[in-house]
Amino acid sequence: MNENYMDTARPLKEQIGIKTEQEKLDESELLRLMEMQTDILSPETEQTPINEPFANRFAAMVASVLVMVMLTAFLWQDNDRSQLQSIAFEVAGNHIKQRPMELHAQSMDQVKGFFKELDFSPTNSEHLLSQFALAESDLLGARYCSIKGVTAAQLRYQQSEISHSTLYEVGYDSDLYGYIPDISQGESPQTLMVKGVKVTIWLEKGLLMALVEDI
Amino acid sequence: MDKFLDPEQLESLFQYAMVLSNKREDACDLLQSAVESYLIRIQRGKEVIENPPAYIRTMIRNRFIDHYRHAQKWQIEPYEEMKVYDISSVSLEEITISGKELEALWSRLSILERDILYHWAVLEYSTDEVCALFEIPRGTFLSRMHRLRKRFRQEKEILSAPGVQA
Repeated sequence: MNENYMDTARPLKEQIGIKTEQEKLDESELLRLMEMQTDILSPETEQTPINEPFANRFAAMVASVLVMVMLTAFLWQDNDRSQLQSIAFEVAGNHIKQRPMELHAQSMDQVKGFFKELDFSPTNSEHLLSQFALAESDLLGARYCSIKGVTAAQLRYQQSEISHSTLYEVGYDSDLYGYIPDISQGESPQTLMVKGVKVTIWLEKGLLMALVEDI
Repeated sequence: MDKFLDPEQLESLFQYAMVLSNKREDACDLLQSAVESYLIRIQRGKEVIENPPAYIRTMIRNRFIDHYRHAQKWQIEPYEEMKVYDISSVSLEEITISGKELEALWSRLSILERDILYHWAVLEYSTDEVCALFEIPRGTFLSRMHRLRKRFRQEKEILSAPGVQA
């Protein structure tokens, strides 16, 4: 069980919901239940005469395929959700520590000049400006960090007089990070609340971006 | 295809079986046998089941009660206080609790208490709906809620006492 669930006090109703959702069927148990449904409900059972119309057999085949597709989609979605959560936890933890900046900067050119060890080029996020009103002029500084063990750029912005936001940028690797909504495809960024901060994750210009804001 | 239960519905039914049995193996058995009976019933076509998840939840509950009656572990709780306490539906709403505290208390709650809490917290049943489902008078339900609230408070106090670790 995760640390956040164990330590954070929440309304009883919400906490029971979280506790309940943590119980999951094993993949094999889920598969067995899905197969049992196809076996019992499909027209192609032992009682079906051999000369039953082809349509019945076809319907059974479609049902089996559909069940497999539903199961795969579900497991996939579940995996993506946990991947996103894991990224959110990592960047939120990083943001909360507020380690000192290695570079004090007020422009992206300075930032680009500083990050020599990255295998991607940090970029100005248009989404950051349009949706969060954070412009290059709000930039405070930058430092190296990592997301899932890959070297990443951390850019700190002045969010308000009293709070900072941190933008994380790293080259996107679907094998490592799973599905991330791509704003260039019209998809909406994913927002998660973890460790008392708000994390928004999206894909832009081939980079995984995660913005952490104090709430 | 609406007779088919999708993975999300199966997960949710498994979670309900876990609430009752508190044991993974028992929950899997309960779910498996309830789903199997449901499928056989609809295959025979004698019954029209409009809400399969609710139907299977009832089967899980009935099977669980039968099993525990055999094992003489299920106690039918007597009709208790007629007095209606000064509580309302918000009395449980205002309790806050950490995962540690909930875990410490959960297995010590009676099966019926866990069942009621699940219907209230996860399925969002109203007081009247819970009373109708469990066939308990409103006064009994309210006094049960009153005791539950007291237990949650006591548990918090115990866990927050110096030197106690959850």
